Amino acid sequence: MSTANERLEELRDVVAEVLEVETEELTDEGDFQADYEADSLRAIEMLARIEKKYRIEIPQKELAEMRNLKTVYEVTARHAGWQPVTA
Amino acid sequence: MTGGVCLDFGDISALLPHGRAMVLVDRIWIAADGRSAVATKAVSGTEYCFREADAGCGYPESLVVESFGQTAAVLWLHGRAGDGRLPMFAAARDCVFTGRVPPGTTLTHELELEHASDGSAMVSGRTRAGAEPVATFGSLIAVARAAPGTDAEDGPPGREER
Repeated sequence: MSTANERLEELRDVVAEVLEVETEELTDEGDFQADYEADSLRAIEMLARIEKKYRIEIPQKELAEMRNLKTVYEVTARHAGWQPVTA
Repeated sequence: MTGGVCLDFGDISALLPHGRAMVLVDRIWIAADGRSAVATKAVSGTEYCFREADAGCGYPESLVVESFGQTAAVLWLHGRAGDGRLPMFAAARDCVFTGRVPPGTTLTHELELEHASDGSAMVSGRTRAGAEPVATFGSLIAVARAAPGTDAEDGPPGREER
């Protein structure tokens, strides 16, 4: 079973691919819009890829909360029943 | 394809919001499980895109994507209960064009529905012109959006559009 930190790294891969940045460039709290020039369509693509990867459904109203990798993890964890990331 | 459903141009036009003049698919066969489809589109030299362009350049790649995307939308919409929301093209990734589409050929799209939720769908597939492979689509993503003038209860994220 994947740990919370392993899942965070999986999400980093997914998000980095969508934002077209290297995984090393994507920080946990970097703002997708301000720091990576993401628009709402990138956010939608991100959400769809996460839903597909983990076979879950995330309402689109959650997109407003998905501003950085940390909050993407929190939203995904809430809908997938994961544990919080430990420091 | 057996056991599925075949949609003709009228059926397709009724499902898509584009208006008949912009429907770029003639016929779609949807598999019984609703997870895949095969569609055809006859490319004619009389089409608007060839009026001022050299037909030797072939059917525009953008219209190949549009035709493929419309097929994807129908595949998705066919399995959804009508809720008034419209499909909107969101993203395409890993799309590769390998051939030209001359007038007089028939495009055949083959699609797989990789993922579908209430709000979004992802498809992949390939397109032939006659027997010749002309394009592969790694993924196309569509999102459901409230139609203009309707209540967007589950609408766009609350972030500024760029």
